[in-house]
Amino acid sequence: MRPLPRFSTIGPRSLTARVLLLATAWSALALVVISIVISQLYRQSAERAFTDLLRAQLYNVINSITIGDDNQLSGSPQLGDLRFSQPETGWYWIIEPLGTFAARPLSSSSLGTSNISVPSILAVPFNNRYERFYPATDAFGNHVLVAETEVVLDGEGRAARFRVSGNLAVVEDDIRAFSRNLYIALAVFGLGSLVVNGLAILYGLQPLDGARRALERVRRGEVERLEGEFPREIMPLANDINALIESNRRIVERARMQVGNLAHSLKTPIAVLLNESRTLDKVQSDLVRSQSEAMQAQVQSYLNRARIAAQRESLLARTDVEPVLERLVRVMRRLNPDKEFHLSVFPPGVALAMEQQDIEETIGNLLENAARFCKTGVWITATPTSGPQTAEGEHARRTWVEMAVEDDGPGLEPDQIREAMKRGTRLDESQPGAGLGLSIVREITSEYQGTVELTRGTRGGLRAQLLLPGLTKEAAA
Amino acid sequence: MRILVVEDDINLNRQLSDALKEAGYVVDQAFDGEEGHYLGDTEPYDAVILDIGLPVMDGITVVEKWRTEGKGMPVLMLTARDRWSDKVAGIDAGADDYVAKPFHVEEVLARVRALIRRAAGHSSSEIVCGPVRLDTKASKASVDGVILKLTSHEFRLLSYLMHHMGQVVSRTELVEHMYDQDFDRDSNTIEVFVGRLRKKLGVDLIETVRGLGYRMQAPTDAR
Repeated sequence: MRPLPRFSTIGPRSLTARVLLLATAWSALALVVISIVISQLYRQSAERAFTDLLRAQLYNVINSITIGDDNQLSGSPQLGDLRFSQPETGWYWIIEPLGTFAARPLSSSSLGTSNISVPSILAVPFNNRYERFYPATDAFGNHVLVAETEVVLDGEGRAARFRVSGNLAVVEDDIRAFSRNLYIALAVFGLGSLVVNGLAILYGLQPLDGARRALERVRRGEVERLEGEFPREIMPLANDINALIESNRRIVERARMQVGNLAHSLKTPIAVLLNESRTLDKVQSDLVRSQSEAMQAQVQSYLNRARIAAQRESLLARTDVEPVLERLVRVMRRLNPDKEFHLSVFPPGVALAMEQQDIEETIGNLLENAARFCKTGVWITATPTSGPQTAEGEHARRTWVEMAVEDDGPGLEPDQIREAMKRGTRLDESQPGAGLGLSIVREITSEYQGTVELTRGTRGGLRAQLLLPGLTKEAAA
Repeated sequence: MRILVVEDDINLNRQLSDALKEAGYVVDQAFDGEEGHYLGDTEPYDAVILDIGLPVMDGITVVEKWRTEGKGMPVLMLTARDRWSDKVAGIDAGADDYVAKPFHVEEVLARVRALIRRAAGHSSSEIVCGPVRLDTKASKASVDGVILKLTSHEFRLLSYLMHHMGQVVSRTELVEHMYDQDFDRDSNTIEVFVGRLRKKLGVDLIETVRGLGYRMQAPTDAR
């Protein structure tokens, strides 16, 4: 037999946990990457907007400055921004004459008397629009970005350097605020996704759980096959399981038939040997007889084993108790016309999670014994009850049926009861029978996790009390 | 008493028949279901031993057909399939008792005796008619405690009459139940046996009912 494919031991053993773990890990990774990319894009956009703003302010300043009659720089740039008027804001404009043009430099009032250093052309070259942008630190410690250009102001070639700076803290604050909001939004989205993923997985895997529960009902014998609507992915599995159950049933049937055939084929020759021994002399007769009886015991023992093995393979069983008991009682009345048989099944509709043949075998053997020893009659009862005290888990949860067969015969003493439960023991050698009855009862009962108990009944005779696995009326229906 | 044994195993059939003959019964043999059914349908038997697993027609079908046809003789089923479901099927079909294989012939004899007694309405294995006692178990008869020495034919005659105490039994009926099917039947021999039996019993319990046959009754009942 090939070994079953192993369930990968990496990670949790629950399918739900596995899918949830993977989905969560992927969501988290995606959210982190997305947040980094969006932050970067926003930073680029914000910096570009800041540069554009500085450029616009720079040209505003250029447009508002001329060379006055006194050969000085003149003009008063109106930039519409208070930060150019308030001190130490990091927002400044500066105009400085270049070359031979000797004039007083101009600057915004926000700069006061300080200045911002100018880097060399080599360090920060001009671009093709003859502009350059560079970061700097003002005298007050503000980190600023400076936009700079040089403009020829008149036909005489007098030129000036125009610079406008803006405080970089504005950009950083903007980006920080945006990032914070972004992270909050993504975190909310991530958590939401987690919940939705979880629900989706649970919803998606629900049919699997349904299949598991349906299979459990089959195993408990409440139904004969997997029933219910399953999704396309699970339907083939459900069909295969049903096919397996059906095949199992056929195997059991075939095994039963073969057991019957084997019994027939072996028992007749043994009967012939057994009876032929009567014609031999005593020594030979005893030998043939004892060997035939040993063969008979072996055959019986193996037949019982085969029967019990066949029963063990049988997953499903449900049998209404009353019709079976009625049939048995009808037979017993026919066989023992001078004895009375009283049957009581309450409530009607009690069902057992057992094969009909096994119920017949168990109760039939008990009835046969009771009829053999009773004075006037036999009483049979069946009623639902709580499980055996030793039952745990599943067995404690299920329904149980107490069945009792009681007679008004001489009964048995406690040590006789112990002896009676051993295989093949016969307490009364004067009565015919193979003596296998009680041990078969015990074997079948224990196969179904039930119990059998022999006591002295209220009528003075033997009371055989069985606890057998039952089915609720709804399950049996 | 005439018994039919229907069993396909030649050895087992012979053993049963021999044991039954030894016990004082008249025995007919059949080896398949069809033959068994035919004999049971046409000959009057006091009991039938019928195997379930028979060729041509199985035992269950045979007994079902007999019951449908109104044949009421007691039937003892022999079954190798000793599960209760098989027993129930046999009894439901109309059998009166069953014996599981392998069996001791003595057990079968005991069951057959019980079936015949039960069919005749006797509950004890000993049938009493005035001073005469018939021990069906030991195949012995006694008068006032003294064992009678009877031939097998005389015992069969007495046994049949005692099983049917109070009833008028015709000569033909006696012939049918005392001899097997191959016997050349001559009802005159019955008169000879009855005469001998009356002599051995010493008491006049066997009444001749003119034109009808014989009736055995205890003296207090005799008219």
